[in-house]
Amino acid sequence: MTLREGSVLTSLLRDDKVRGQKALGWLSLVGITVGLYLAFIYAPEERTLGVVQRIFYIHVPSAWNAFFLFGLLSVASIAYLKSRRLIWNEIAVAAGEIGVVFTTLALATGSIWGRPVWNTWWTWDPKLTTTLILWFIYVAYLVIQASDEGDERRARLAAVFGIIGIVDIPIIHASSQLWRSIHPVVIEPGRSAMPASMAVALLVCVAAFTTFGLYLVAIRLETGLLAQRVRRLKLMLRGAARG
Amino acid sequence: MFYVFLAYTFVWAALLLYCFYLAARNRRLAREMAALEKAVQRDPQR
Repeated sequence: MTLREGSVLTSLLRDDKVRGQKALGWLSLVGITVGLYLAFIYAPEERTLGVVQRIFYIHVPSAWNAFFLFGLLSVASIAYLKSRRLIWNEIAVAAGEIGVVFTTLALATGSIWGRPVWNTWWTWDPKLTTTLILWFIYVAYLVIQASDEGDERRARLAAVFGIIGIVDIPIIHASSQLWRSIHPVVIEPGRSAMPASMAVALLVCVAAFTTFGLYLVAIRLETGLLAQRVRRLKLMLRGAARG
Repeated sequence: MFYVFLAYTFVWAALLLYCFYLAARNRRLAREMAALEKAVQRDPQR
């Protein structure tokens, strides 16, 4: 089965580009600009933490985006295992790579926030540790995807690994309740610990990050599709040279 | 304010650099693909 043959996803693609890619880019730019205005001007300064609390508006969206993209990776991996269409594997790789980028950003911004608040860049807190484990899981996933195995075998192994890896996300979410943690629990179902203006700023930033994450996935998917076609053309030329 | 500046600069610099890196890689791959397609068309055995 070739990469694009018979796929329901072909309607989403045009000349190896995801339809609406440009629109996603512009939407992200508008969302990010509005998000920055809300985070720095509209939202009030937090009484206890002061100005450093504004890191919250990029830290939480980065973490959310990482979880969302690893979720997308799992869905694409399940779809790949069911259909064996390589396009699903390409979507999973794209989501995985961008997910790792956003996990790195969540860890880095958490560390920068931790320095003035906890007086340390890093502590082995359950939430931080389980997030670092998540980062290692999906870096390992990308290593599998970059390995020299055959397309089918590599994609199958990576899909299984990617699906198992998602188990860490509910553990991260529950870690502050399950173990003693210094990481604050700001968002709990049925209870809001922040004023409405902060919640609005956070929601807009989350939406902007999600749009930008999807835009990056679209560009990375294009990379995967182009690389696949280049590989096929090289194989054709090599075959022609031999035969 | 230093930590806020550091965090925002790090995030946006990393995301923009990554975005430009992906776009540049796509352009390089598209050029390579066009050259290979021409080579396949020129090949008399194809």
